[in-house]
Amino acid sequence: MSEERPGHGPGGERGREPWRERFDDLEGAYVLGALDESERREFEGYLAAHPELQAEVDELGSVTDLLALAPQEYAPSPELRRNLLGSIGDASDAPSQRRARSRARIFGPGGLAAAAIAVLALVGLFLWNASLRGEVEDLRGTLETRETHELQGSGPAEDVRGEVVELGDGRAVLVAENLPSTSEGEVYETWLMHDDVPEPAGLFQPLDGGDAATPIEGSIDEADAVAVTLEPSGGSPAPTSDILLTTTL
Amino acid sequence: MSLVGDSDAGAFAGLYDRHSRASYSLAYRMMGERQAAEDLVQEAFLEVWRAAGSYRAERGSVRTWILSIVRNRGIDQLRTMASRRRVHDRVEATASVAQPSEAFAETWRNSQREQVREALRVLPPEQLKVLELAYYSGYTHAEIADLLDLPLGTVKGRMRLGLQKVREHFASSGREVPG
Repeated sequence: MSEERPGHGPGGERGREPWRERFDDLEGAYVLGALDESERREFEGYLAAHPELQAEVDELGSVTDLLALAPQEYAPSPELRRNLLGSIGDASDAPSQRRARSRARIFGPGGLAAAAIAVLALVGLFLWNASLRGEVEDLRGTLETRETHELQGSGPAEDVRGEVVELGDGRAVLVAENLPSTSEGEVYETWLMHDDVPEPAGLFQPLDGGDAATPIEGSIDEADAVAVTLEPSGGSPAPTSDILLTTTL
Repeated sequence: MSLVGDSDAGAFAGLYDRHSRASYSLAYRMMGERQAAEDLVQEAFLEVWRAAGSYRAERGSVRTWILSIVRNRGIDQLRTMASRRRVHDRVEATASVAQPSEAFAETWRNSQREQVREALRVLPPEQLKVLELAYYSGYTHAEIADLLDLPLGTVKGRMRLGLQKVREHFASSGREVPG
C-alpha cells in the first residue's frame, strides 16, 4: 500500500498484486469480525479503493451469517417473552387480541377471502374483473406491509418462485409460480413444521401454467417452517417424498 | 417489520414468536448458559424494537438482521467479560455444532437449518473449530492463533478456506446460500 491509495504499491502490477494477497489474507477474518482494529481499518481501506470487491466480501459475509443457524435448537422460557413485552409496555395484551386488532386494521372486515384475492392479484396469477380491481387496489398497499417468506425450491422444483404470505391471526397463503405439473394420482401437499415434525396443512394442484395459490390450513403461529412435498392423491398423514419447497417462518 | 417500526406491540410480539427460538439458540451457543442467553435475547429484541425502522429488506432477511444483532451484542459482551472461559472449554464445546437431524431426517434434510449443518459437516474439523471460535466466541484471529498454538497465517487461511468451502458446497449442490 502506498501513495495514499491501497492496492497501488510498487510492483503491484506484476502477477498477483501484493495488496490483493493481503486482501485475500484478511478477508475471511474480516467477515467473521475477527480482525483487530488496525487490520479492520486496513482492510476497509482496500475495500474503499476497490469497491468492485464489495460484492465478493458481501457474499462471503452471507456465508458467515449461516453460522447463526447451526446451533442446536432450544426454546427460551415463557418468562422471557413476558418480560420483553412487559418492557415495551404491552405485557397484558393477549396475543390473540393483538393479532385480531392488527388484522382488523390491515384487512378490515373482508377477512381471509379479500386478503387472498389481493395476494393472488399481486402475484399476477389470475385476471380479475373490473369490480374487483378497486378492492384489490385498496388492499394492495396494506398487503405489501405483510410479512412474507420466500420459498426455496429444490430438486424438480428448483426453478419455482413462491412465497408464504402471512395474513394475520395465524393464517397464511402459499403462492407459487412455475410448479412442475403433477402426474396422475399425485397432488402437492403443504406441511407445517413444528420442531421438525410435519403436520398436514392442505392439498393443492397447480393450474396448467404451473401457478398455484392455496390457503395454508392450520395456524402458522407456532410453526417453525412451511414445506411442500408431492404425495399420492388424497394426501398423506406424513410426507413420503423429499421436500420440494420450504421456507422458515 | 414496518408495523414494528411503527411501534405496533402486537406485530413485535409476532416477530418475537417467529424468531425467538433461533435467536435464543444462537445466544445459548455463544453464552453457554441459560440466564445469560435470555438476557442477551432480551437485549437484542429491545434493540430490534428500537431500530426496526432502520431495517432494510434489500440488505437481507428479517431473520438474518435479528440474528446479526444477537451475535454482535453477544460478541460485545464476551469481549468485555473480565475473564473468559478457558479455551479448553470453548474448544470442547465446538464439537456440538454439527447435529444430525433427530426426526424426519429423510424428508426434512432440505430445510435451511439442515442445509447449513450439512454444509458445515463438509469442513475439516480444524477449519470448523477456527470459524466457531471466531463466530460464537468472538475471538480475533490473533487470539485464536495464541489459543490453539498455531501460526497466524494458518488461522487466517483456515477462516477463509472454511467459508469458501461452505459457499462452494451450496454452489455445487445447485442451491443458493439461504438468506
